[in-house]
Amino acid sequence: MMAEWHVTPDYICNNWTDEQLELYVEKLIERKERESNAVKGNQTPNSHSVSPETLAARSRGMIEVIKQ
Amino acid sequence: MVDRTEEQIVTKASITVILGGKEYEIAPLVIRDSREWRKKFIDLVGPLPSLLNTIVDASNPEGFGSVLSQMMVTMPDQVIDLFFQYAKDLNREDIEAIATDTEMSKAFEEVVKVTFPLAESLPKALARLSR
Repeated sequence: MMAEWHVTPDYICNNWTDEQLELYVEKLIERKERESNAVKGNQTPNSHSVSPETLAARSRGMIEVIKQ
Repeated sequence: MVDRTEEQIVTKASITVILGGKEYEIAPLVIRDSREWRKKFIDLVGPLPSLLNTIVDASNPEGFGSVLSQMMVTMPDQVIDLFFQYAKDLNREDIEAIATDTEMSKAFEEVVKVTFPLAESLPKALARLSR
């Protein structure tokens, strides 16, 4: 949480009230939930697969086909 | 008792209490200072369950009087002491001369609410995180 807010525990203890800490924790959780839901919303079953044409286009130069 | 708005919380707005019919402002303490106050509060209310057990314990009639005195006389005084330890800027002598016990009780509730917000919201937050 400290990394999220970019403040030290000492700063929080000396400058924030209990109410502020509680509110900021609540808002952080809400934001994390929104981010998590957004990622889940973008992931469809097909988002991990690509068509053969796309795969070929993306891997051009990476795969060498040797005719025997 | 009205919940404080997010704006009031973020700006560390004063807690408004009414004592003796007059409005007073109390600045909320930062975590470092309120931590000490919370310890004193817990020391005060922590023994309450055992005191209540003594009251309902019919086999200990001697304890009844002393516990009743503790709960009805000593404890309210300690609550007032604790309130003024939080609201250091208020003039205790003036306020005690005009404020009623009911006003003092409400003012104390306001201070406790500001000092223990996590007690209410932490279980909710943990439940949401564990989903």
